Amino acid sequence: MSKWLAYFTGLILSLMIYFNGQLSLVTTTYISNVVYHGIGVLFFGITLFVFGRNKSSTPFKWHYILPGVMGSLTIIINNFVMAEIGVTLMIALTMLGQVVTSLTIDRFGLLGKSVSKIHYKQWIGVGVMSMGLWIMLF
Amino acid sequence: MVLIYFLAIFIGFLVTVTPIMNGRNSLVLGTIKTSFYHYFFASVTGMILMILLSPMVTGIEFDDISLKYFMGGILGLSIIVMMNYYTVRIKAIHIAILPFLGQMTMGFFLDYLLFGNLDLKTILGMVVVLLGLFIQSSGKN
Repeated sequence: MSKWLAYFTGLILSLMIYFNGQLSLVTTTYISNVVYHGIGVLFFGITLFVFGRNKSSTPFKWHYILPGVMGSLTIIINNFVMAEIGVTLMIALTMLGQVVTSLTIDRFGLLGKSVSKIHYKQWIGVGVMSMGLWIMLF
Repeated sequence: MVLIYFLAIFIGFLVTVTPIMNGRNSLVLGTIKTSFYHYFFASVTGMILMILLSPMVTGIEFDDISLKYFMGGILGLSIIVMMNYYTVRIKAIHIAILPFLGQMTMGFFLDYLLFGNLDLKTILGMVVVLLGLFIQSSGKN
C-alpha cells in the first residue's frame, strides 16, 4: 500500500508544482512560496491546537528546522527551473538527482535507513537514465 | 543553462532528503507536529529570502489572483501527510522512483494539455530514462 501511495503522491506532486508555478507567474516566486507554506502553517497550526494540546511535549531539537528550510528552497528553485526548462525535463533531471541521492543513502545506511548493497545493475540503470536525459537535452 | 540543469539535479537531492527527515521526525513528534514544524520553518525561510532577494513587491493585482492558484498549497497538505507515512516504510530508492513515475505520468499530460508540447525527442528521452529506472530497480539488493 505504501508503494502505491508513493506513486499517487507523484501524481499530486506534479499538479502542486504546476499550481505553485502559476501563482509565482502572477505574483513572484517568493510570494508564492510564502503563500504555499503559510497555508500549511494555518492548517497544521489549527490542527495541532485542536488535537495536540493534551499530548506531552517533546524537547525541541535543532534538526527539526532543516526539513522546512530545505522545503522552502525546493519550492523556490522548482519554480525558477520549471519556468526555464518546462515540467518534463525538470522532472527527469530531478529524478537523476533523486536516484543518485537515494542509492547513496541506501548504500551507506544514512538518515536511519538500513544498509542495502547496491547491485551493479542499479548503477547501469543510472547510466542509462543519463543517456535518456542527453537525448532530451541535445 | 548548465546551471539550471544542476539546480534541477540539486532539487532531486532536496526532495529525497526532506521527506526522509520528516518521516523520522514524525516517529518522534507525530505527523501533525512534524508537518507544522516543516511549514513553519519553511515560511520563515521563505519570508527571509523574500526580504533579502525580492524587496520590491509592487504591481501585483491581487484581485486577478484566482482561488485556483492556492490549490498548490492545499495539495501540499495531503502530500506531506502521505510522505510522512510512506517514507519510513519503504526504501530510499523507492521513495525516489515511485513518485517520479506518478510525476512523469502527470507531467506528460500537463505539458501536452497546457503547452501543446509533444516533442518526440522528449518522449524518446523519457522512454530511455524509464528503461534506466527499470534496469536499476531490477538489481538485487
